[in-house]
Amino acid sequence: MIALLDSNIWYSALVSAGNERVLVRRLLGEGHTIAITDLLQDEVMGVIRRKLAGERRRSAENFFRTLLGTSPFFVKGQEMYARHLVTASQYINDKDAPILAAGLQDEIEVIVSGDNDFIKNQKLSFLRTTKIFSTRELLERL
Amino acid sequence: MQTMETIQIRLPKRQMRRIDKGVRAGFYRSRSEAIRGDLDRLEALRIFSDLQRVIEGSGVRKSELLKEAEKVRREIYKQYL
Repeated sequence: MIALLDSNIWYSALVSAGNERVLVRRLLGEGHTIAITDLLQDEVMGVIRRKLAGERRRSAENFFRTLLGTSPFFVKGQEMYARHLVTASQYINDKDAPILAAGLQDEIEVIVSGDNDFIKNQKLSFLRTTKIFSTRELLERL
Repeated sequence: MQTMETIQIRLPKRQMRRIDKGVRAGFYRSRSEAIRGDLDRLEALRIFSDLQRVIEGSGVRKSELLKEAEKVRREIYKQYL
């Protein structure tokens, strides 16, 4: 399975031992691929730079960069999903449109988000049971 | 391309069956690729644990990360989109 994780899944997985952390570990351990967009990568890196300091910041930046370089991950650049941006903007707000655009690509099998703009969005109901999942829903399907 | 070294390893039949199953299913092109893939996953899990330990150790809360993420996202999108 190739799963695109929204940034809120990342932040939850990194700070607390809940379902999101279990999900990331299971995806990694059970042979799945985790996709992330280039913008999301920049965002997580930006947050690390602003919220952490000194050696801790350097270590976190290094770990995150190295993690995304391992084979279970792949980073989707804008050139790969730009053609879906206009369509995505019709269904979701601008801040989430790049993630949805990346998720609309055929090879992405699931989008995982904790954001109600994804999981309670009536406009996306046509994708709701096939492609967009909450963390708990995907854990139950793995 | 990275330089490869050849080693001989012994594996239990149970693990060999799992590796061969992955190759037959088309997930890997060869046994070597399957084993490299598994090693890479172990490495990814280790790095993920290291990353979460560093972030947890900083004492930062999820709500703080999400708040900062909103700001960072606005700036990034203004720049790129």
